[in-house]
Amino acid sequence: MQSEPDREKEWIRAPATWFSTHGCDGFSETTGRDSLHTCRTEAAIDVYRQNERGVLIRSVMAAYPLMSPLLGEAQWHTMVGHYCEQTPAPVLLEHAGARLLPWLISQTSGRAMLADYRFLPALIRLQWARHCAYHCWRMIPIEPTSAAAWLSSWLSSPPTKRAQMPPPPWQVNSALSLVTSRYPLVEIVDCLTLLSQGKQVELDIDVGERQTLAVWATEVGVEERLVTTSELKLLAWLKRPSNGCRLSEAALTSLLQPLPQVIESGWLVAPQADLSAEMSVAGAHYAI
Amino acid sequence: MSGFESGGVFNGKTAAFNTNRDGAYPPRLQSLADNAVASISLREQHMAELLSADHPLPFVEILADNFLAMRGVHYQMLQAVAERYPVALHCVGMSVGSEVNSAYLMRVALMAKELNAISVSDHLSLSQLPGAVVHDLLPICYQEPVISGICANIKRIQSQLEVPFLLENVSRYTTYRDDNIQEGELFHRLHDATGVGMLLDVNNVYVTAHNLNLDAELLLLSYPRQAVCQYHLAGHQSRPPLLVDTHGSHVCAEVWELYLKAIAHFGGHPTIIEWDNDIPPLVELLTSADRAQHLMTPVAGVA
Repeated sequence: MQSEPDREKEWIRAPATWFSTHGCDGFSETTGRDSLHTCRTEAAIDVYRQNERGVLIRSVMAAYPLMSPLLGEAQWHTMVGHYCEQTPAPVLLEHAGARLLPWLISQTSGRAMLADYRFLPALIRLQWARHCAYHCWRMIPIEPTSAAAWLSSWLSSPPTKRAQMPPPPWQVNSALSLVTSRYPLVEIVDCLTLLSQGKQVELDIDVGERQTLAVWATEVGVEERLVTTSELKLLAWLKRPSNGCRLSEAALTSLLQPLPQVIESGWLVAPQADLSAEMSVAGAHYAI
Repeated sequence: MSGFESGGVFNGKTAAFNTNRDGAYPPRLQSLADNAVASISLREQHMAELLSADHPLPFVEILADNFLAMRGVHYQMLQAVAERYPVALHCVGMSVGSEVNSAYLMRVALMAKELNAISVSDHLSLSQLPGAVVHDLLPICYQEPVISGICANIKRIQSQLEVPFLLENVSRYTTYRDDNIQEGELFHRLHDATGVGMLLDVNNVYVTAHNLNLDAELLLLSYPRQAVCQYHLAGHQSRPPLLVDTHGSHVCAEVWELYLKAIAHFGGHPTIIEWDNDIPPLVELLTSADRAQHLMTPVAGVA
């Protein structure tokens, strides 16, 4: 005999799953004829399966709008179809596509594609960063006075005491992603955007100096720009100030130099504690 | 004169509202239900056009799930829309039939407050499963033991919202063999226990009746008259032997006929034209809304 919790689980079911364990017998006959019942039930299950698959495919494709002009609509659609079949559906639809790059690397055909398009990992990360920033929950701006007071207190404390100080009144913007590559990402994006608009363009993709692009959410949208080395170092410290306890005053002064630009850019926000923020897609800090 | 202009619920957006936590029928829900006005479910691509023109819409429906970040240019446009038109929020993620996601509910409640929404609606369906999520409006089990859980979920949602919560009937493609309650009866039971209003999707009634071999009119009339307070109209697609709720075409003649029967039986209530796939120009949606208004006005007795 089934226990009550087990029965409750049975009441919360998906038609397709129920069909896979019970077949047509798990569903009512609406026509009175066995052959029609089988046909209608199978057609119904097919609708549910198509709905489920269709919405996931559309979501992943929307998260990576530059893949279609790069690979062609048909190949991209097929690839996303396989991805959706092989990866579990996320709780939130906007998270669909989060595992695209590791999944691609795990596929033989994916590895061949990455060999053809060596900039593809960075391009995938960039599109996902934009997607995350677009869907990111609103953030509370940093409070400059309390941030300045904390910094001042931290700087004036002896290095041995710094580790015991309360955490800083900020966190790095959770929708700030850093995408790093030796390929000219900005030019690649511009080229693919023009291609998606039906324009004829050619692009020479040469390996150059490594660059890091920051993508982040603002109150009104999504912004991105190249990051300087000193900003990168500062971001790393801002995430974990305790790592810099032993830095000399001169090193700290140098480290904090780009702080006004970092605050101005909105890369620091007030710590988030409310439940509603839990739904946000967390940005990936690839380069920190 | 529309309900908005005539001083109905829509120009009472700032009025205090008593939620139905005690199970009593909320007075504002009644006044909302009494507005025989038609409009559209507004999609993002039509927002700028709507804001740049002067369409005298009585209200607009917004799919809350498209704006859950609650920031960015698109949300600012939505705020501008909400300044101009009363907004009814529609959702697809509550999963009333299984487990309601707290963070999701909190955001929807906050959005409803920020936009001064007139109502929030979702479906009598589930998407959260044990250990998995299916991004679809899956049918619940129509069985006695599920009712208490659904009522608890509805009450939880109502306790978070400051506006009426409405539950919509979904399109169904099959029924479980162990189902033993009819949909109309289930909506009666839910309404009696929680006071939840009903968003009656006339297209879904038509699609479900076809797929389950039921009489569409009898199915329509089985819903609780006192609960119905909004209508949805949309298009579907024929994929023999079934009809599929695609929201990608015009409302068909049979659904318009059923809508006439609905307003004759349940009265004139805010009616929303939904279109989610292959979305046409705004003017086409407005034309369908005009048609709904044209049909509803004589029945509802509104000049």
